[in-house]
Amino acid sequence: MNANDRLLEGRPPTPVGAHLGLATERLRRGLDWFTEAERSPSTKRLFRNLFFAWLLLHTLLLLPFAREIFAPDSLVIREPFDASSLVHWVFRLSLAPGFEGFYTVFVVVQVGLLCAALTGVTSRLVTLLIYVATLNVNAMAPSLLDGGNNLSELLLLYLVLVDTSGHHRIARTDWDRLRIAVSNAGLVLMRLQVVIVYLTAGMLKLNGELWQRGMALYYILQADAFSHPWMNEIVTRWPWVGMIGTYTTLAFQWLFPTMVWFRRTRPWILTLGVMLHLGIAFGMGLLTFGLIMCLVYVLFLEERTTARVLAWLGAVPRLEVTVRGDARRLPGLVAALARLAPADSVRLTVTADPQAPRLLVGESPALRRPSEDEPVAQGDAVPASVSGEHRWCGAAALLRLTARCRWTWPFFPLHLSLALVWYLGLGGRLFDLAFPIVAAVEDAREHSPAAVR
Amino acid sequence: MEERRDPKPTAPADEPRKGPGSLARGIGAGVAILIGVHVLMTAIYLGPPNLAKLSLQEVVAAYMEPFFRQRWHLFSPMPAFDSVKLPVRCRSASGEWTPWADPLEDLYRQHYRFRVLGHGKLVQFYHSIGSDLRESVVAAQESCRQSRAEAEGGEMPVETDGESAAQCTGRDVVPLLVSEPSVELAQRYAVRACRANGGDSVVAAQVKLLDFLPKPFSKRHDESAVWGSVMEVPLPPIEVAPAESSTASLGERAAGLLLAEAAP
Repeated sequence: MNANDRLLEGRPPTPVGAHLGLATERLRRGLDWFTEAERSPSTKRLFRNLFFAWLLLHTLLLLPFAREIFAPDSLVIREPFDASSLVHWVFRLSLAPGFEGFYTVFVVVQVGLLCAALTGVTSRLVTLLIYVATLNVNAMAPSLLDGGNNLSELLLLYLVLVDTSGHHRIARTDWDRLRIAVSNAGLVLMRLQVVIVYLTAGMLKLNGELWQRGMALYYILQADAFSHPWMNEIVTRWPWVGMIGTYTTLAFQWLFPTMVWFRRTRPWILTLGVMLHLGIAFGMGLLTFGLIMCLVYVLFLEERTTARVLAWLGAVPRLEVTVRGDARRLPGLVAALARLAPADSVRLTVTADPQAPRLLVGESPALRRPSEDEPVAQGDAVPASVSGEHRWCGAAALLRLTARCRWTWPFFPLHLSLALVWYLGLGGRLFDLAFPIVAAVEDAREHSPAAVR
Repeated sequence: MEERRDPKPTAPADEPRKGPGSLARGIGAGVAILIGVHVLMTAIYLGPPNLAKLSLQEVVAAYMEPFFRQRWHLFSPMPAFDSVKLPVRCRSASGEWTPWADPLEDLYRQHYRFRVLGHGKLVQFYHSIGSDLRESVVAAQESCRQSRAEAEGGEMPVETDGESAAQCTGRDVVPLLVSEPSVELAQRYAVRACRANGGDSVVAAQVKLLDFLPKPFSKRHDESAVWGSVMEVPLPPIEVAPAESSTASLGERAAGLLLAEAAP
């Protein structure tokens, strides 16, 4: 009998019993937090998008120097390949004898996967593939790797566990609970990892004499690889700037692991962190490190905030697409294209109206994402007519639709080909040839009352 | 596509939602325990040497490496504050050496000018050649001092200054470093820079390590010196074999231009 039962029976619990009951209840709630619902889905999704964008930026920045950095004869000491290790065959394949010459393939695969993920082709499998590709690319240039790369590898691994679809899921079966628990655990691990980074760095800094004496920044900014002539000048001319910077860094790294968990203190510590890391990015020239450290703060943002940011980012005009169900091949093609478009940016209606054009696309000017409380049913009623300021029919409409998913790289050639065909004025004829109305329906149309009239 | 949007529970409304049972709690507890174990392993891995770390070292290392490897020094405890340079000079078939020139000068200039481009990463890439070489030299110096102290029957001096240190200068330890990968890398760097500059006419290249330490804080306004101290370690010249191809990269071309400018 626990404290609550005793209370219900009218007997007051003993103080120790009450406290134990409370602790048990909190433990239960804590365990249920993992399993009952997908926590912070918008945060997970926003973080995934920003994180993949950072990974893409990191590789794109290196592309102009790819030969210098990744080629087999580049000036770098690489880890020797261990042919007996499965880990090496998967995550260090780029170092395997015979594969070294194909460094561009690894880079292209990573960039391709990231582009696909950023355009909506996302799943845990895609994240896992990105992880494998990223580790292979990183293995080719170990001297480039800094704390930001170390953190990105760890976060990528945890991200494989996370459901980043942005859907609010509530567990109904034990299988759901397991999936949701794994996803929530990934989020917790990512947050804890960020805290571990600061905790470790803060503790190590306390052992450094220059950090204790407030002069670390003065000395760091004298090194030409981690400075800028202006920064050097500033800390030499105004030494107190260096001292304040040193102690602020120390205080930040010590306070972050605590302050970030409390709602009231979180905005302050995150703001300070952003300022500090932007300083590192531009002042010290460690751009990618500074940016990823700013980016990981997204993990600590509240769900309301990240949902708003996602809504703002997704505020593109929605395409309202109406396709005739009796046009051969067209409904399937249009549905596939709509699936590749960014979420919520295409509203698809299949109509049986024989008077309707085979494909009609309208662009709705006022669009927003529904708020969390707004019910959006599955397959909700869609308007029969297409509204909006801009409308396109036939080939032009198909071109408009492929333009919406143009950044999904396998479809880029399709979009280009359609644009060329449309530009040459052949769009209408080819559209008629490719997507004829099914004959049986044509016959039905000829004998319909509308046709007779 | 709107059909995919699912901001609310996906199960049909009429399906009764079961509360958390013992299995559900078990799942939650299992996940929480796994997270706890992972955090504990990370704490032991990152923590200072202690009894737990000594007794669990192998288990922890097997768990953490290579996927959960963590390097969070981030300029601590002692931040890197020296500037390492690798000037290069080349000898032509006529036997004349060009003046020493830093092939990365232009790259550094671009890095200072364009902070949002990839030059910072390239600086990091080339900087590591010099810093690896410096580490090898410093380690060899330590080893040299230790062996001399042992030979003299005394204890190794704690401070790096003084007479014993003077006996193990960077130049003294260079012969010990011939087989070091960092030396081989620095020499390849020199060969490339020379080849980019003089092509097939270059017959030898030489690189030296310059390690500049900043002026101490107390002497920051002292105009008589630019640096606090400088360590100079020239590596032996290396012969340049005829180039198989002349596909010079961006960095090499920059190096070539700089060397050409510096040449008399």
